[in-house]
Amino acid sequence: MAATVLIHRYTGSGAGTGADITGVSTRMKQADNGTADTNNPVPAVTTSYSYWVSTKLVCTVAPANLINNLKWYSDGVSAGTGLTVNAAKASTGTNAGYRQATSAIALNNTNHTGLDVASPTDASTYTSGSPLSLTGSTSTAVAFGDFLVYQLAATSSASPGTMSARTYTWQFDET
Amino acid sequence: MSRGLDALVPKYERDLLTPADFSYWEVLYDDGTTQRETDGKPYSTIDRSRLASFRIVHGGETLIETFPPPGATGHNLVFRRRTQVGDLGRRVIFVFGWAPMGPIFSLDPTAETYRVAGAFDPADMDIAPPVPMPGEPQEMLDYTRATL
Repeated sequence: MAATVLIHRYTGSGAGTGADITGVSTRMKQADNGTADTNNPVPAVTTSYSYWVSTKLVCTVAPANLINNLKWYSDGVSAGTGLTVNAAKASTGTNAGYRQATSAIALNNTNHTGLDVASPTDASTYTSGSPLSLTGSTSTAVAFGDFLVYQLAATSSASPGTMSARTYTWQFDET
Repeated sequence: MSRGLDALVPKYERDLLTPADFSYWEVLYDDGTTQRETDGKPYSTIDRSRLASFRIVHGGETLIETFPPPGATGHNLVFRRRTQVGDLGRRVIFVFGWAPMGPIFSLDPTAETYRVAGAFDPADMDIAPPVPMPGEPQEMLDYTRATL
């Protein structure tokens, strides 16, 4: 029987609490949640950041055999002038790499000690032709694989207004 | 290039189900017996030494059936149910074929189309190479051979 796998956004302290965001939009904002009620200010100088967003796959119905070959990619479209969505894997240290976003600070492995890299990469560079590979597999109904963490960075050249939605896709194989 | 499936596939409510949810693999053995995914026996239990053909079935109708090409045996069979999920919903395709010699099929039951490639292509998510499962050595999934 085919497995059921959802995308969860994790928020909160400790190991975090996951909420299903499969098939819906979620917000990058200056708060540790995904609701559409807080804007990110366009700064006069330097860069303004959203709280980082932590996502992970959760298998709720186990596969007949195994799920593996996790990939993540964007629609390949830039976030806009003065805007960058940066993304990176996280699996290091406690809570399988999850770190609660408690303020609007830059995403790097100094501020987020669970990141697997020093600095994230522009998410628009991860496309279906060149996806980000994540580690992880499962044969049971559990949360599995690396966290995928992303964040919106806005410079002073960004224009006020609503940013166009971007599409991010998880891919996995199953037998 | 995608080709159309000559099959009767209902238009399921996309928010709830896809044709892939009602599709399953079926193996024909050389003694005429079959093994289906719906028998409760996983992919890893396929007896590759007796495999005569591999097919994807939906609603009792064979969507695609493939036979080992020259030089291939059941030990060259590769199959994956590949899911792409995001804020636009879920897309499930079947990637299967014979590795490393090819061909490789990518079947999209929802779109009622399929593609045939000479080998896996890491730059194309619909026919990107899988990660080995038990019984599938990495060498078998080498995608660097020339395409058809």
